[in-house]
Amino acid sequence: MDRVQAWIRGELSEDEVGALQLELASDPELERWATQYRQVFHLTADGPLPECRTNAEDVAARVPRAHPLASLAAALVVGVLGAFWLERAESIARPDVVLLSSIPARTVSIERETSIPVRLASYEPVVDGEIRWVDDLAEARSLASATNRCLFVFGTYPDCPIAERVRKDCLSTAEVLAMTEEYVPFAIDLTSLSPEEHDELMRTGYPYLGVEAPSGESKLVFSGTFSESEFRAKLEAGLAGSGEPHLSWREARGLAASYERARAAEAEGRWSEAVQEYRRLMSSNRTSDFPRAGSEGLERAGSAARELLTQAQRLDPTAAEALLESSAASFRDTEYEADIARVLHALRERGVFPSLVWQSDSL
Amino acid sequence: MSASLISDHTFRALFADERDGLFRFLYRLTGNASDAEDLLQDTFLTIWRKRDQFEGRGSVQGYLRRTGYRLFLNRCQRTSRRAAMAPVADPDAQEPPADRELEHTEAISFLHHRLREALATLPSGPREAFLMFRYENLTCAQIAEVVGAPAKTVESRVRRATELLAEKLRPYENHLPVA
Repeated sequence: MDRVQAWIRGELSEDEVGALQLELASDPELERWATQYRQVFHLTADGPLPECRTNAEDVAARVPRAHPLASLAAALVVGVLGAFWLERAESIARPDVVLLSSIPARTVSIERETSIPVRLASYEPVVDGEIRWVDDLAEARSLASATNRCLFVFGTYPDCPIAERVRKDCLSTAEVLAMTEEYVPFAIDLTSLSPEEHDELMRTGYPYLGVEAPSGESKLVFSGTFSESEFRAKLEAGLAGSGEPHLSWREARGLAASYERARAAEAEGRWSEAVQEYRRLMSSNRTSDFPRAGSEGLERAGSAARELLTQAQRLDPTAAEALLESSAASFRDTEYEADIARVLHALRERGVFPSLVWQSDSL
Repeated sequence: MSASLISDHTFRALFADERDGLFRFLYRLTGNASDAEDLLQDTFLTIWRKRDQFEGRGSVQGYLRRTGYRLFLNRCQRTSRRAAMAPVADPDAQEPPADRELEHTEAISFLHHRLREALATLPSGPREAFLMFRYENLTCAQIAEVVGAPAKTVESRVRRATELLAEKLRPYENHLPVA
C-alpha cells in the first residue's frame, strides 16, 4: 500500500513501477484498492490550509516557573505573555474563514413559482346553503391545485329554467352541498365559449356537468338531468380515485392568509416574518401546493441572505459592516441570522471581509 | 538522545523545524485552526516536560505526532467529539472576488465541504488512518507507531476509508480539480 501511495505521488522509479504493477497483477484485492485509492487520491486533492500562528514564545510562556527553562521563559513571558494572550484571544475571535451553515451557496432560480390565489384566503364554496361558483377557469384551477381538489364543472345558459331546476332540486340539499365542498365549484356560461368549445361541451348533453382535475384532465362527464340521489351518486363517483386527503377549506384559508402575509413581508424585505410564515406552509398537508410554496419562499429567503453577503463582500469593509448591521435585523430569528452575525463579527474583529465557506448542498 | 540533548536551544530548533508540519497534522485531525494551535502548544509543552523520557528511539517527528495524537484523543474523550475535517478555504483570500471568481470560489468551497462531510462520516479509526496516509504521506508502519496499533490494522483501516470515500465522493468526480 505504501508503494502504491508512492507510485501515485510519482515517487517511484520506472523499475519500481514495473515491479509494483506485476505485484498488483498478481493480487486482485490490492489492485482493486489501488484503483480506488488512485481515484480517491485525486478526489481529495489538498486545499489551502491556515497558517500556524503559534510561536516558540507561546509555548515558553506556558512552561512552569519552577522549571530550569523557566528563567528563560519568564523573561520572555514578561514581554510576550500579555501580547501573546491578546493576540491569541484575537486569533481565536478573528477567524479567517466563516463557515456558513444555513445560507445557501447559490442563488436558487425557481422556474415556475407556485401560485396560491389571493381569493383562497377568504373563499368558502358554500355559504348560507348556496354554492359560490367560481367563474374564472384559471382561478378555479388554481384553487383546485392549492387545495388538491377537482373542479365540479356546471355549464349552463343564463336564466335557463332547466339549469334553475337542477340548482333547486339537486344542488341545494345538505348532502350535495357537503359533497360540493369536496370540489371547487366552477360555473361556465356557455354563451361565453367559442363555437368550437361550445359544440365540444354540448355534445355530451345539457346542462354540462363534469369533474376535472386541476390540470384540466376530464375525469367524469355526466351532462343531463338527474334525480337528487342520482346526482349525488355522480358527484360521489367523481371523488372516487382522488385518494389523497384534502385540506379542509378552513385550513386552506388559514394557510392562504399565511402565504399572503409571507409575500407581503418578503416584498418589504421583512424576512423574519416571511420565513416564519413559509415555515408554517412547509409543515402543511403535503398533497396541497402550500408546502411547495413554503419551500420556494424559504429558498428565496436563503438567496436573499446570500445576496446580502455577496453585496457586502464587494464593498469596502466599513460599508460592508454598515450594510450587514442594517440588514441583520430583517433576518432575525431565521436560520440565516447566525451566519450573518458570524460574518459581521469576523468583519469587525479583523477589519476585512472574511472568506466564506458555504456548508449547504447547493451545487 | 539523552535528556540533556533537549536543551532550550534544541527545543527551539525543534519547534522551528516541526511547528508547521505538526500544525497541519493536528489541523487535519481537529478540523479547525484554533484547536490545532492549542494542541500544538500542548504537544510541545508535553515534549518539554517529558524530555527526560525521550530516549532517542525513532524519529523526532514520529514522537511529536504520537504525542500530539494522544493529546488529541484525550481532548476528544473530554469533549466527546472526534471529528476530522478537510482543508477549508484559503484564509488569505480576503480581497472581494469578482463575479466569475466568486462563482469559482463557491464551487471550490462546496467541494471542500463535500470532502469534509465525506471524511467526517467515516468511522474515527479509518478516518484518522486515512488522513495520515493521504495527507501526511505516512507509511502504514509510521501510522501504526503514531496510533499505537498493529500495521495490519492500519492497513485495513486505510482500505476501509478508501472504499467508503470512493463510494461517497464518486458523484463529485467530475467537479473536482483533478491533480
